[in-house]
Amino acid sequence: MNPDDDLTRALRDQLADAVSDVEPTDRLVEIRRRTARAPRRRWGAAVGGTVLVAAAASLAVALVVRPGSLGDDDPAVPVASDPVEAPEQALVPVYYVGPGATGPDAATALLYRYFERGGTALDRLMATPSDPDYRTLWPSGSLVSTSGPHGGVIDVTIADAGLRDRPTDMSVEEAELAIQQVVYTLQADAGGRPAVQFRYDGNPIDQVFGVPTSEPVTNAPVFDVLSLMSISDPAEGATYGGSLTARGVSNGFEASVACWLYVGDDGGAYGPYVTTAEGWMAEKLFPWQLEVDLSDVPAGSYTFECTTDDAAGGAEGRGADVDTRTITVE
Amino acid sequence: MTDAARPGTWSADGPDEAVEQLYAVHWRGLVRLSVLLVHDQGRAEEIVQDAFVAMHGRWGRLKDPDKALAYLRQAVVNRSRSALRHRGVVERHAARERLVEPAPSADETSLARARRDAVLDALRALPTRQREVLALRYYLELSEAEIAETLGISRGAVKSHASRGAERLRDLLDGSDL
Repeated sequence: MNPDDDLTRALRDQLADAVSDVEPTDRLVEIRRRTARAPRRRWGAAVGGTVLVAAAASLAVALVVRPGSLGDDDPAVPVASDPVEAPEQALVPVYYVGPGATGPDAATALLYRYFERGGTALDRLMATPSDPDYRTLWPSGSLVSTSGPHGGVIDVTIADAGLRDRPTDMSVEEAELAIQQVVYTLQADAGGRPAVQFRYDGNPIDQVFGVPTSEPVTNAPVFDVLSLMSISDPAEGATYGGSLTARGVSNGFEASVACWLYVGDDGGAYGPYVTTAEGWMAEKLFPWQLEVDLSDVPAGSYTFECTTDDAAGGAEGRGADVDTRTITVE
Repeated sequence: MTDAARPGTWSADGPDEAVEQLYAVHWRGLVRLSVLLVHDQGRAEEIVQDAFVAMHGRWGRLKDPDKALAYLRQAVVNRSRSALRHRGVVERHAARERLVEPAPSADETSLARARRDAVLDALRALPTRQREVLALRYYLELSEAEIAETLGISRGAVKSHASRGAERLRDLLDGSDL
């Protein structure tokens, strides 16, 4: 590597000189803000990674998973866990924008599926998500109506031709996520994979937020836009006593799923509670379910976090996918 | 905070402290590294900021300042590469204009600026791997083994990218008064 010291020195000086006048603005406050919201811990926080994988494999057989009660495409439907809520209100799957996975190659934002109680899918897309870790990119009143599917296409009508262009505070990635929020949500609502035609004033509109929409839009690849961990149960803010049944969908290394109950910000954790999902690798999400015994967990507020395993240990690739809920144990 | 620069006095016991300490010592250097790769200061700052956020999320796995720094470097290189991939030729030219230009107060300043631009332009003309290897080798002064690990390639590949890149860069800069 060092055939010529003069050349080495010259290159070193040239590269150092080329950026010597780059004085970056201070972004520490911004970094603090972005890392303060959701405390995220990983598998390795309490147990060595290898040990934990072994634990996941051995414990999985002991867990009660009901094969046959779960289909293979979007089956992890949550059950009512909070008796205070009106039981007749239907659960509506909605795809919201949340944080990206943890690896160096991960996208900075992904879509998470959350089951809201009551309302229509379209209304929910324009309302504040029940889980504050998520956000929606659709302002109130931006989506008017939806119909179909007819002939494999769902129509959705936007309220304002001003939505054609990407707002200055929206990145290109966010614009694409916004379109996919609608596609995935309406597909979940329809129970299939129909394409979505965006319309304005009765006619197809050529673009929405700058994303081409002349033709019906299909769902983007799962690995590109979806979080590979979405919790279906518990719901945000739910209360439990005795035990809880967690459900969700995931796709991670060796199908491993680990969940934790975190106390406050740095007050320790209960767990891991581990299981394996019904599969991994194929480009879709697989259901998982696990029971958490709460008899030794004191009453209080907790962050319930579930994560896929990251085979690369954070060194490369996508990293681990994580989803969280705030719950109360009584 | 300055303790982070001295081995053995590392005291970060949580992700927040790790971010503070690594930011204090490495923020500027990592942004400059990314500028060498993407030639766009605004973009470089976003890339490095994202890398710090990702490092914070990985702290449970890293728990060690050397590993955390290696992770940051890798994240910056990978994210810089993705940023280039997602950027068209036209936008690349626009990006050049966004480089922060200090107010030129003397001829010397604009000469220096021209010299720096020539190096950044030449780097931009190199294949991605050669550019990355040169930046890690000659700007960060990493060893062959460290570069191989950062880029996930063999030491042999590092060697050949380094020599081809250096040769190409010299050719590109020939005749530009350097």
